[in-house]
Amino acid sequence: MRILRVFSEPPLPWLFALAGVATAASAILPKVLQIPELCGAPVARFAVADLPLALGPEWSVTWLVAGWLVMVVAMMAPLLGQPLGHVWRSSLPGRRPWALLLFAIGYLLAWSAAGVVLVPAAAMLKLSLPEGAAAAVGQSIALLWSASPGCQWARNRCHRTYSLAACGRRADRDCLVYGTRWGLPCAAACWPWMLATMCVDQAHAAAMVIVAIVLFLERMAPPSVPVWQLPPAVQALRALLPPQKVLGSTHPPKAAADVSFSKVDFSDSHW
Amino acid sequence: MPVRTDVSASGAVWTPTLEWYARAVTALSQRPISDRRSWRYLAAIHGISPNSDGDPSDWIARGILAAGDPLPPRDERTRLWDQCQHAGWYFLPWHRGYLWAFEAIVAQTVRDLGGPNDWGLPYWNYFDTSNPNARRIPQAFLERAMPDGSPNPLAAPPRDGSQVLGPTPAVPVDITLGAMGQRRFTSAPGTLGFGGGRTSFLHLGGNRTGAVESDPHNLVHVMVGGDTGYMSDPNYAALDPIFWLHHCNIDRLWAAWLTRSGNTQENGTDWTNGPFPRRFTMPDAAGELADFMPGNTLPGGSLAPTYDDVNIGTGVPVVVAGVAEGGGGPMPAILSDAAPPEPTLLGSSTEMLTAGAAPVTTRVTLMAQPATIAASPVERRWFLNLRNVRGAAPTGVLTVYVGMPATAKHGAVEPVAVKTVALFGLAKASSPEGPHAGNGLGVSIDITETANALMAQTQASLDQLEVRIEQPGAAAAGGITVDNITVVSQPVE
Repeated sequence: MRILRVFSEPPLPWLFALAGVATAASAILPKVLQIPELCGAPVARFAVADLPLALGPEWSVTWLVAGWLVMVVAMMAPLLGQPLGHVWRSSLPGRRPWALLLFAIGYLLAWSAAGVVLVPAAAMLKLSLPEGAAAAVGQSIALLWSASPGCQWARNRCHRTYSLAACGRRADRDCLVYGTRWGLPCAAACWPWMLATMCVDQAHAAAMVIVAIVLFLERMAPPSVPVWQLPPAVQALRALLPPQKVLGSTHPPKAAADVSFSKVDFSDSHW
Repeated sequence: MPVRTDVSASGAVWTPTLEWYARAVTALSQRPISDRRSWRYLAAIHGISPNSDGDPSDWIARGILAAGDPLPPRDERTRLWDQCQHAGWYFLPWHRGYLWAFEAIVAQTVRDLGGPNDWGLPYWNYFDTSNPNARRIPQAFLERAMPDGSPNPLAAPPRDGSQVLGPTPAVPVDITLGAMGQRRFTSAPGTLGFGGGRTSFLHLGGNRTGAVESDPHNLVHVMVGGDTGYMSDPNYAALDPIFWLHHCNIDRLWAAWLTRSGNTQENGTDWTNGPFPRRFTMPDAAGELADFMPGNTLPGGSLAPTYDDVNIGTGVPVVVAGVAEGGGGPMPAILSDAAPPEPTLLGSSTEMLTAGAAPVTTRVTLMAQPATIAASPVERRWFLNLRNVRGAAPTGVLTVYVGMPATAKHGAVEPVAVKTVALFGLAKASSPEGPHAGNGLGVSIDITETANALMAQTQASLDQLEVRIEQPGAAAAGGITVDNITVVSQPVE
């Protein structure tokens, strides 16, 4: 039951709700907004120049960008507790909503740039590989990347906080830049998971939820030395097990759920 | 259960406790670092590498290790070494577990050497006003030789600071028991609490330093270590035997604080069972690895220490049968997971400062305030925050001044010193390549009295503050940068 406490720490309930709405929207919106549908026409071999044709007659940049951003919000919103808390606390009370909006714009700008590469990459993967293979390849890339020093390097930068001015034009600029500076390493750390999710046709919404949970667990891990390691999500699950030995105790360790979970924290000293 | 005693209680330079400690230090120092119960392994748990990756290069360069010395496996180094918790929520419980593991290993070594079965770690009671030499480094840690004429390992590590705790040109401030006045363990962001603000696993780096960590803990480290001594650098500090007596006294201050009526000790599950997912791990007396959680360190827990006294030199009233002498309330401190009152941001500076040899000044514009703090609907305290303080030196010292610039409504008030702070672990916290994310350190200073004085002097509300920062003594190379300065106020409970 302690795990459930994670979801009660503000602003997480709001962010989970936002992610839920975006996930639902991703499932019920017109097909043209759904990223997986971009590649609905199976093509054995595929060239980049053929991409618009493969996307079908309803294709448009607007729908593509909208679908991408909905997916980003659905999967990334739960990861934003710390930076949003930092923006909130660093802004004078009267301008906090504006500061949050500027941060969000900067953050989505970074992910939009990533989408320029990732969406065509996902389309190419799906159109170039047999059904199901694209998803497997995407997931393998994601797991490998998650275990790599490069990904840890990026994750460490997601724990970086930047001082923000409390008010004025300087504060506006700081919040916008902070959103982008936070979004870029976030995209660098999470891009293969987005790629893998886009490659899943069946139960796409379920895949989004599962990947969002994986990314949330990765986000809980503190910064660490960039080396090859077990993916942090796996480490987090392992940490739910009781310790083999407790210092100074002659008694067996308590049950896992009683000993090892900590609430999510939105202080700007970590995360 | 060993009883921890005052190192200077008997007045003798060498006591059996210290002689056995010295013999154990010698024995532990002779063990290879691959032995979890060796002196160097235990010190590396606190810190060893600039990027906190267990890289022993710096120790090899300083001759602490030889290049070919066998090391523990990399996974173990990553898990066990560079583990100390500073500038955050777990400073006190992590060091309590660390002391417990150290004491158990030293006590076992003492037994193995033929010593007593009840050896306990002594504490350096530097606030004992009945002892005129309390502020001096205990003499046994300065003697060249032990009573039997053999080299004294307690005096071997380099110390570049003062032998007497107190103001010096480099650290122009005295240590105080001011932290004992904090009523809450956990602080809200931008304010002060006894133990620190909420963080996750945090091996240096952050803006949540607790009051007792800042003063006296950090100051004593820098006063003893000076510019180049082991005590000033978290990567070397635990190699100095005095480190353990210093931390034992810090731990004792926490034990004393817990006996004080009205204090509120954190006991939320995220603190008592934290951190997650990385845990705290220590070797035990058998050399096996064991985890612990902060909840284990509270009274009644398996790692709770026993002190011969928690009154002398702690600023805590004498406790008799659970009641404070002189009509105090019930004992001990209450346990609570309630959050502290939320602070309100009043303003921030807009420029980064670099404090070098010369002082630097900035201004903080504040949102509209009542003309006096007393005129506020609720009593509030004011805090000045230096955010994201970074530098290349292992440690640094900053003196902060606060005044008011002249405006149309009032004249100028020359800045006055409000605090001198020691930035223990500055370089490690500033490294973007390690697990610190390059966030640097943060400093929170209670400026309530200064704010009151400024308003009384100008007969005006605080609309702007002038903040001056300088490095006393020799400036650290490259200076110390401060990303910005904020001012917050917090309702008094």
